[in-house]
Amino acid sequence: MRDHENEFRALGASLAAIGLGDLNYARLFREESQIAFPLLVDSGRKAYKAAQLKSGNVFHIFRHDNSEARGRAKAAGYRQNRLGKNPFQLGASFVFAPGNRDLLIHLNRTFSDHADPKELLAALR
Amino acid sequence: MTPTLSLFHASRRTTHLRPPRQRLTCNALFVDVGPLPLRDYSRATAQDYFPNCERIVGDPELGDLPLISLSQVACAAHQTVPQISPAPFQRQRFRISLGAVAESISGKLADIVLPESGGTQVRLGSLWENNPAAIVFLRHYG
Repeated sequence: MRDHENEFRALGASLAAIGLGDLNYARLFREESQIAFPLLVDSGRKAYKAAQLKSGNVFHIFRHDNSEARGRAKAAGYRQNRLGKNPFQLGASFVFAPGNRDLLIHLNRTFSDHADPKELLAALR
Repeated sequence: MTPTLSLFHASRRTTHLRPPRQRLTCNALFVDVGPLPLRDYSRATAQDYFPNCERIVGDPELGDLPLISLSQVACAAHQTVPQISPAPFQRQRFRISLGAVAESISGKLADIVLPESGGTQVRLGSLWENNPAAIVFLRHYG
């Protein structure tokens, strides 16, 4: 997402990320990733619950797609700092518009499933 | 202003469009028309079903409304369609569709206030109040 931030801005859209954990980890994440858009912390999972995001389970760890994704991340130099209190929480990507309109909903089905930024950009065009 | 559309359900097993038991405000019209053209299901006009709709164009009978299949609705509601047995499928699907679109996800999130990494409190709805926003939920930071 960070790599596509300018494209989102060019289309008049803003970006924000919501994560679990605490403010310290969010600050650390911002410093390491050098992300400029807002990083919000939802330690109580209020937003996750409101959006009804799903959770994975221990069997997802052994899925082939997740193993491959872990390998790619490791090869790229990424490392996981901490699992946190809800390690099986799955993420999601949305494009929302004024008037509380949902332009795109992508609910991650497993740990390695993420929306392609191109899909998000296409929803804005 | 959010367009107001009324939700109804047309399944491949029904012979007529059925208006909802209650009027809902939603952002899209969810119709599963099956293999037949939509107009084969109804003799009514779109205005009969959508008196509050801002824009109905296209098909003179039912209009060029955003059509999204109910399977997508089920996905949006986090329901797994194949787990629903065939017999109550229609009823279940109808119930899911009503529940799923009664309020948009952005509407559910809009009033939640979360701290930004710098400590500032942010109301989520403010992020897409004036312009579109891409919101990514991460598993965790780091």
